[in-house]
Amino acid sequence: MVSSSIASSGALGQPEGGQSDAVQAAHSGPYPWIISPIFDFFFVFGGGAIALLVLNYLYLGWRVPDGVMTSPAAWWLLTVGFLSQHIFADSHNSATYLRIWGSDEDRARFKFHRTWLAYSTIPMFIMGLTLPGLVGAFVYIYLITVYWHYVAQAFGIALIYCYKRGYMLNNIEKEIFRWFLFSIVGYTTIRFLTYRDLSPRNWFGVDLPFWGPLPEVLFFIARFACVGMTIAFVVLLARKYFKENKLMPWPSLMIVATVAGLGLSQEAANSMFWFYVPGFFHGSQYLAVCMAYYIKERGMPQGMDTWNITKSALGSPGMKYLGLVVLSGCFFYIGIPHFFNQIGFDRALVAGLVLACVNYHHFVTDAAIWRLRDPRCRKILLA
Amino acid sequence: MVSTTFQFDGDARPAPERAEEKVASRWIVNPVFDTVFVFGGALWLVFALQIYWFHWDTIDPAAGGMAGSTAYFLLFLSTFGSYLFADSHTIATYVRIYSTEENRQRFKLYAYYLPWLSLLMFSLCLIYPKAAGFCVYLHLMWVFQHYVGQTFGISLIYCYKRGYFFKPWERETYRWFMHSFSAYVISRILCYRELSPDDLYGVKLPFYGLPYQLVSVTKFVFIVMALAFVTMVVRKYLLEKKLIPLPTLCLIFSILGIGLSTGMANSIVWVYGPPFFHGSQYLAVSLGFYLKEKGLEESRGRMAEVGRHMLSEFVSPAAMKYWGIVIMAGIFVYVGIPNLLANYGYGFVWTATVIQACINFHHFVTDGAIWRLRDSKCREILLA
Repeated sequence: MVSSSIASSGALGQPEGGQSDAVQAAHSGPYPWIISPIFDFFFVFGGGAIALLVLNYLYLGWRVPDGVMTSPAAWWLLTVGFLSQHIFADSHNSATYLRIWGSDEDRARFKFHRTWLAYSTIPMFIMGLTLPGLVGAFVYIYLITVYWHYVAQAFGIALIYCYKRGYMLNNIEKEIFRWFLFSIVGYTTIRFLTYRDLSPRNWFGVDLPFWGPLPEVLFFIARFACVGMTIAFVVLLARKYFKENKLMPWPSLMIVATVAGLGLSQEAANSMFWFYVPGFFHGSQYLAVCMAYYIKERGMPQGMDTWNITKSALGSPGMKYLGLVVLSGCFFYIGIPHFFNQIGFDRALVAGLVLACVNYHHFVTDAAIWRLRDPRCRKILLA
Repeated sequence: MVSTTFQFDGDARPAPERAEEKVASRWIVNPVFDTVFVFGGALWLVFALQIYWFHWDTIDPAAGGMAGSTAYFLLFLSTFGSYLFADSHTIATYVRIYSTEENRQRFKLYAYYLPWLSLLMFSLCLIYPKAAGFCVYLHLMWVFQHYVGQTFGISLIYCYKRGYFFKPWERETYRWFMHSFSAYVISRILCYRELSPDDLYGVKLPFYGLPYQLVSVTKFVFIVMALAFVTMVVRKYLLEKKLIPLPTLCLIFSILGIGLSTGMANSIVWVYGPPFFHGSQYLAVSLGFYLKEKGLEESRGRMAEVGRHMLSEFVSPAAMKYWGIVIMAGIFVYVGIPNLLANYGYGFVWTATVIQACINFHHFVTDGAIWRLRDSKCREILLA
């Protein structure tokens, strides 16, 4: 999900039509959660990742669990980590495919993304197989852009919570919020390209290049911009509180805190963040939004109450959706590398290549499909 | 699929006189597809290719020249075939029992209760390696009976589709000929140490060493039943002027070849047999059933139309969705779970072998319930 494309084009009203008067009377505003309060806390705005980080710190200190046999705590934390990887992280890419193939309207609308853009990953994949040196470059580009992708998604979901709860931002405020988050991206990305020791040399068996170092002055500028935008954002929140008596919704604040922690933390803390956040923050929040969208997209035309539709995500339709994306995630990230390994390719290399290809398509497609400017998308997302 | 359940209630009888059934397809899919994927063409073609290039030696993809390329092609084929047909065919059983509310209720025992038994067995195997050995050993024998059962069932479909009906005693002769063959092959594994592997993909197997006389008895029964079967076929030809259908004969010879092969030949057929004979034929029948069942929801005419244009239906959106789900779920079960458990110290191949045994117990038992030609709806769809 790409936040930069999520912008209101005026007043964001209530969800339109389709619901009976009685239901509207009972549930007069947009549903304030993506799925439900507890689910959202753990899987959408970072509660699960923060809870695991705390548990990790309490039982293992400042280190990532390094083996299931090292201690019972490591066993549990790694098990949760592995499962979250398969259930949320690997699978969330597939949710993009269900979005662009989900309905006739979406298939027609995102024709480019499901045809030419998808086809373009095939030569990319073949190039990676035939010129293994390229895989390192592909993965390196993924590592440079992945934090931007996380932040953009976090911004988009934070805005959804704001708008669902009537915390409207005017254009200037929205831009301050956006550039505050992007300044963190700029800072972390430039840091990554400036200091060799912050850029991994090998990523799960794939040797990586280092496209730097950039002049250090760029790093200082990025840091200054980040501090400046942080101050501007805090002033914005305080001003909004004192002038409009409105506090930013706490789910939005937690999202901002989690994603900032992911980018700004260092050394062991950063490793710990990157161990838990892909599954319990980024992947799970993406799946929650997509699943709610998928179910609402089908339910709303029939005039179902969005409050109940969203809750049905935890029932059979939601589980079927989850099952499908988990299976396809397993196919991409385990099945394909295993198959190529069986026929003589290096498993780590193919896994890196799949990651790069899938995410290249995922990042670009996300920028197109999650636009709050688009009335239909806005109506469903904010319902 | 279990052959013993493929039977009609009474005497051989013609198909019901319905206009649409008069033109029901004589094939599961079509002549070429069936030749390659249903009654053994692909298996024996690949087998011949390997023997032609490598004689009775192991293939070496690292070898130079055409031999190396052919070895690589064979390696690719067996790996790809496993993903496409072997791993996925077990999942087709689940699609069958979970596909509709009617099926879920009808096969409640198999859909909601028996899977827990497989899970329990798998957990036991993870905890006690001896349990894993026993499960895999049991599977090793049961699997051949399962192959024979499925072959018998599909061969009957060809017979009935072509109007080659059996009287009850003829069908029983055929059935017991097949059963006697299973018994003979299984008894060899039970009695001869050299035919019972000590270690299968990292799983230590037990060996109970039953008396050799058991093989002699089963061999004698098999020979008698084979003679009875041949006599029955010849008699049917002479009296009724009906020849057993060629696909049925091919199926019988294929399964005889698999069971009677020894040494390197046996190793080769067990590499290519699961994907290109057993798995592919199961998927062809299951997917056909799924599509025809969907067609039947519209009308009998639509079902018959699906049956007549099966190849084009095999690439329809509904079939693609079916393929996608069974392949992905097969990968999840046979690659994803072993991959996850490898983090906990369980060998990848070991886990995959144990999963195969535990899942297949459920698959074997469930197949016995879901593919019954006695069941009128099942029969109508299978023969459409």
